[in-house]
Amino acid sequence: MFSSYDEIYHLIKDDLNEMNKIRSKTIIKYILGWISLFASIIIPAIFGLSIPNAGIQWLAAFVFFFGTVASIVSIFKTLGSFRMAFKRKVVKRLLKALFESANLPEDDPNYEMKWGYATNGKIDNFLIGESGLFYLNRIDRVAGKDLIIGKIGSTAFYFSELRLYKQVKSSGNERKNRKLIPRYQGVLYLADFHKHFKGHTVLRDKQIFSFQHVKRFFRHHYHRMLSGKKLTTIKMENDEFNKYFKVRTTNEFEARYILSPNLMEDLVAFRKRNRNPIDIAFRKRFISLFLYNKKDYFEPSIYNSMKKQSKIAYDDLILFFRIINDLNLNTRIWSKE
Amino acid sequence: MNIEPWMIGTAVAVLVLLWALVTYNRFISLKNSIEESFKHIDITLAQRFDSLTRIAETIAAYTKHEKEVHTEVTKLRSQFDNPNENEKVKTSNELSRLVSGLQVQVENYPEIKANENYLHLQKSINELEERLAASRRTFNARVTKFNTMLQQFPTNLFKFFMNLEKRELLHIDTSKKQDVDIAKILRG
Repeated sequence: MFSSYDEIYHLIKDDLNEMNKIRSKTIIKYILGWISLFASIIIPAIFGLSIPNAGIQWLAAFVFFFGTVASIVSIFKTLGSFRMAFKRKVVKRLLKALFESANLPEDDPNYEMKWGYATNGKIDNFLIGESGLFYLNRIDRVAGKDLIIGKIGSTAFYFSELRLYKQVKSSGNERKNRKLIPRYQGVLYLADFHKHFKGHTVLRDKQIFSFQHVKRFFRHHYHRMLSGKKLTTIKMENDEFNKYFKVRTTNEFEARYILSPNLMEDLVAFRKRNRNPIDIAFRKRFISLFLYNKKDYFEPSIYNSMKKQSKIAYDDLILFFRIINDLNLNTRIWSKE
Repeated sequence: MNIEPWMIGTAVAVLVLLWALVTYNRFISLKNSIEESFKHIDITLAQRFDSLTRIAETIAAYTKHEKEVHTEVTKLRSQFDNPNENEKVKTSNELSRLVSGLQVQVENYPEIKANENYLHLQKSINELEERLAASRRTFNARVTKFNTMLQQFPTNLFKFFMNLEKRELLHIDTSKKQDVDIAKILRG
């Protein structure tokens, strides 16, 4: 359905060339920033220490202080401008090209393709709660970025990077400090589910590869006990699916209705394509997926070529856009409109 | 404090009694959950029958066979009220076949395809087919759990005390594994 990267590349080539020019300018500004920072430290140090004159020493201190601050601000500003330019010229352009060049099904004239992108946006707190994936009474702060919303066919979707923090007390020698610790970190993806249901079904990833996964595993058990939610664990008929996911639900009949044999196979295939754990929930009218990882999506680097970075952004976007087709969410043969 | 043999004996007896109570209750709860899932199948089967009846009558209203279809549907409905589950399934399948036959004629009546009621009924039947499959899968999962407990030692000892018998699994048609598209099914 979506065009390949090579096809997209031709559509965004001009923007990438322009971005390459910005990248070259950024590298120069970045190097100059570092030179200015070193100069702000070394030159005042040489003059201030070698010339025993109070006036010179005051001047050296002034240059050291303001020079260092100005250089650091300049370095961060340069990188910030580059980051914003990348999101505006590459990510936004990629999205536009992907949606405009997509092959729509000929037999469905009502097939819709819509998109929207907010670099500093995140999924709304209300939707985070509706997703049914998190124990929000254990969350003190929510942060996120790169919100992408849209519609593919009949399925509306939303996704963004998300960090959910818990405030913890860390007692020092004399006074107590409070600090925020990320409890959940990754990408939250919500899409309109094609079947009508009323209950709450959660699929917890069972795979444990690292210490982070072990922490996640115990945290879920701990939170489950605290939340007091009446969800029953059920075993599905698909052994491979049971190997990857633990299913907990408020209604077993509904859980088996949602998790048809085909959907279970599709979810296993999707899970196999991702290295990190994925939790899935079905609540209200959504299917919600939380992909645990610490990756910063759509963040550019001045060290890599724009073609390489746009390919990475393309692969990330395609992974999320294909969920709808991978899980057949546009199959609307049931009574839900 | 010295531990006397009678204390150990009492502790063991209490533990055995607790285990027996828990296992007894577990069997009762499983038996009831099997009954519940069977009722669920029954209810969904009835809903599916109703939807099939309505779709048959909707199609018949556009064709020349309205009277014959109505007579046939009335006959099948009286058969469906039979408490025997196998008879119900048989009658439901007969109605499916009748709808199948009518569906062939839908191709000659494009106005039926555009009928909102017809489209809605088609979707309802798809949903009910899937709900029926889910109920059957739930029934089989619960029966499997029950049968496993009944065969494992030491819980199998309750088989004699509680007069329990192994339950039969429902056969699930492999075609139900697919997401159901009634239009495809009805066209044969």
